Amino acid sequence: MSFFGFDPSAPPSNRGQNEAYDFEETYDGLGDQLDEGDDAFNTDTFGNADNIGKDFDFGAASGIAPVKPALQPPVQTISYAQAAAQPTNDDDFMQDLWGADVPPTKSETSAPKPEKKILSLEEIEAQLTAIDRQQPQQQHMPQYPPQPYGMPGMLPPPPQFGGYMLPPAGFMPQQYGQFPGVPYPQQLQPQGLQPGQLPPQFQQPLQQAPPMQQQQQLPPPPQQVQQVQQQPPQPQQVQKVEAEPQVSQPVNIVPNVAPQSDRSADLSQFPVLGSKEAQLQAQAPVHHVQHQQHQHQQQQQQQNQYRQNDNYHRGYDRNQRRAQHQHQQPQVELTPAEEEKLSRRQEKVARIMKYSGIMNPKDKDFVTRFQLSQIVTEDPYNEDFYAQVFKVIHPKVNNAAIDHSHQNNSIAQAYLDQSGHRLGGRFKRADVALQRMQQQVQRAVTVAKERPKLTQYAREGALGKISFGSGKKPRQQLEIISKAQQRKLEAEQKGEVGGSSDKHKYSNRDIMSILENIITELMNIESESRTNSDVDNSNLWESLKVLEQSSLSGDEEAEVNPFIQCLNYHKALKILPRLFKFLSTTQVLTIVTLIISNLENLSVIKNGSYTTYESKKVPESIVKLVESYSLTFSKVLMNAVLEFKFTDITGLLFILIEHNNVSFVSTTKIGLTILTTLLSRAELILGEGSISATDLSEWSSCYDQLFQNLESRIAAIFPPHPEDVDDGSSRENYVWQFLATLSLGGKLSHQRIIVDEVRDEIFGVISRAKAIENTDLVNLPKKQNLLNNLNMYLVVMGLVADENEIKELQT
Amino acid sequence: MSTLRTGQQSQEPLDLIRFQLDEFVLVKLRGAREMKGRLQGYDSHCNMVLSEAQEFIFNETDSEPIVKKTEMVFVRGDSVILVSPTTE
Repeated sequence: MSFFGFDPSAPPSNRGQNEAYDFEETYDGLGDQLDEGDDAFNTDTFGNADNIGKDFDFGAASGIAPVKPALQPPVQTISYAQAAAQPTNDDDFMQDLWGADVPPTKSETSAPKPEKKILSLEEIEAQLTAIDRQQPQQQHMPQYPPQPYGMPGMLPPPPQFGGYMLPPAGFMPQQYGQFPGVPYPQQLQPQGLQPGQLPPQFQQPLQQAPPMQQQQQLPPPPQQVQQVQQQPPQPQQVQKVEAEPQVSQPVNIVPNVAPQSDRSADLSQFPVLGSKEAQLQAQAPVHHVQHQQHQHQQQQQQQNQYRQNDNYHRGYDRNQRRAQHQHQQPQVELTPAEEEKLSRRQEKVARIMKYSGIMNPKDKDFVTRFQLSQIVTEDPYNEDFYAQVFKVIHPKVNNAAIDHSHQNNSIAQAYLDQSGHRLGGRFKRADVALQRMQQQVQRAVTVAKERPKLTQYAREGALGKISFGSGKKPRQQLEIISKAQQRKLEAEQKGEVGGSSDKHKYSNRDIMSILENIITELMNIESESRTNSDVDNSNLWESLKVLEQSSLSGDEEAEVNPFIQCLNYHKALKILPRLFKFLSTTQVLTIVTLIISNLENLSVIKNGSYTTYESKKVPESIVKLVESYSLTFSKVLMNAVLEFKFTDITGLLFILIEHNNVSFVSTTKIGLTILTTLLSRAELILGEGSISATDLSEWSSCYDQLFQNLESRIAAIFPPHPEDVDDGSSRENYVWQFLATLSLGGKLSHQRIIVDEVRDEIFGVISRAKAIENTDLVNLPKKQNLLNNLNMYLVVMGLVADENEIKELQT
Repeated sequence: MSTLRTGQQSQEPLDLIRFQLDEFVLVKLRGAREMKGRLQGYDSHCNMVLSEAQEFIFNETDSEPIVKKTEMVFVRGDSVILVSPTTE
């Protein structure tokens, strides 16, 4: 059901708007189809509209007005017993649900109802007119034409009603007769609090107008409502229709007079509220008994009725409690601000709900069908519905043998086959537009199917691999996996669990031996070079064993290329500068490539990240090795990179990104230094401006990839204890150097991201600099160094920081 | 630094010492002494130069050895009983 208790399965207005003025035609038993089961929660859904304001626009929907009043009263006067006797419209509901609109049955079922009601209507009118004669303000009535309840197309009431929806015809009266206005008092309370301000007309129609209008008039304070509630004694509910209006109508009149003149009188009657509940409970069993005999429509209707009662009873209880609460302090005037607030809220709710429910399910179905018809296939066939659905869900089962291109379209095809069915199947040719739409759908499905396979993106993504989800295997949010683990997994998938057997394992002694050999060869070549300027370095190159066994980051330690293993020893580092002197550029590039692809095998990287230690501190031995690297390897690399071509550098960066977890490498000092070295060299070459367009695009994609890998983890390059990195005693700080280089290579958007991520660190440095007193002559240089290092980064973005603030760089 | 040797990778006993060049070694000496230090050099007599060295002097009475630290020390080969790799 809809929010408003309006049964979405109500038949469309296709019976003709013109006929709507004929009572016989308009009353089609719509209300009987409603399921008001959840109406009690309307207040929960739409809020407790305490103030609906006074700018009611009752004229808005007045077009069909005059007939309605006559239509409504009978509805209201139906007792529960009567309502229970009404035939249900379940068949219609099912038809609507399944789209098979068979109006004939509907008219059949609804036909008897109007007759019953006409009888009661006459009686009620007679009573009403009698009452009206006593009322002086009769003439106001016409100004408030009732809402077109009987018209399905018009069903959503205008928002002027203050946000709550008026229940459709068949439903409201029953409710009203027994719980007059129960759900409404709180919503309309604000007006009830100031009854004197209500225009007399507003309440006047109550006596004359049919019950539907009474809903508009509900604003009378809760006392009125409650008064009404107590009035109908239990027997009346079981009474015939004719009897009830006599009681309920007069009751409605009383509130109009009483609350304005004397509130306390109403209050005195209030306590009787409980009796109403008792009535309901007494009545319930009756319905329950009938409920058990599912023999014909009437009983089904009764069942519905019972359900309504039950639900209403619950809602009623709650509402009544609220009403009671409000009732106890009725004199509390809302401040203008509060009123304003409430009315604004009311307006908002009204605006939100203005168009809700404007389309009934049939309308929606029509639109859906219309849309589906746009993508119809030209040659659908009438097959079993379930077979088609199965085909849609499991295209491969049916098309296993069909070639790939066809499979791409099988979903679309199946879908189109199915929806084509609706347009009349193969016997109607789809027109050109439909064919075009069909092609579009096929294309869309094809494109979707051609999305990258899982493995293609396995190495991408800043934090691991991007995973694409499918219906059966939803996308994981994030997959963080180290290269080593990843390779292990891949090996397992290939069934190579013990696949490393073909690789030579190097013992510690092997490595030492190789290393000593290198040194020996180096010394040989050094001594040779003293006498001969043109030396043959092949022996030395052989001894390096750079090409002896290829390995990648994450390989088992003993299987890593021996040269890489050698680099874990101080003595290897010490000879590096001497070694590189005798190597050709190609050889150097080979070595650097090997190192870059094995970064995570270097103990200085593998064990050099604070992130791997619980104490967030790198152990002393590694720190020493790192120092050794900075003094030797970093300098050698920097010199070597100077010889590299631009493409070499981008290639190295690609290798680095591919074979290493960049965000991990960046948390180590040496890793970051290597990145800085490569990036800064690339940017220097870029600055020279002699780069071809292809190289340039290569570079930008390289940078983007790198950045992608670093993004959101940039702050992690700062070790947890900034003093470890930069206590101000050194003239440079590799972290700020790296950030400066990274920013230099990036676009403005990159720079923004970087600044965002390291903002805390920037201010951290500034505050640390500020902490050093200007009078502290010993530490004053440190302060300057701290700021200088920070500014090295900030200057890239045209900023400069002092101990107090960050300013724009003055040129 | 290491002694200049043009010898090949021939497997000779002193290679074990050669491989430990620039690494920390434990040298056991006559007179209930041990030396730990970074091996800076050696020769065929097992004369050795150790840096960052620590000398442990064991005596019969005290269970705790006396420790002497030396920046750089020459160990004469005739007192060397054994040389083995060690950690710092």
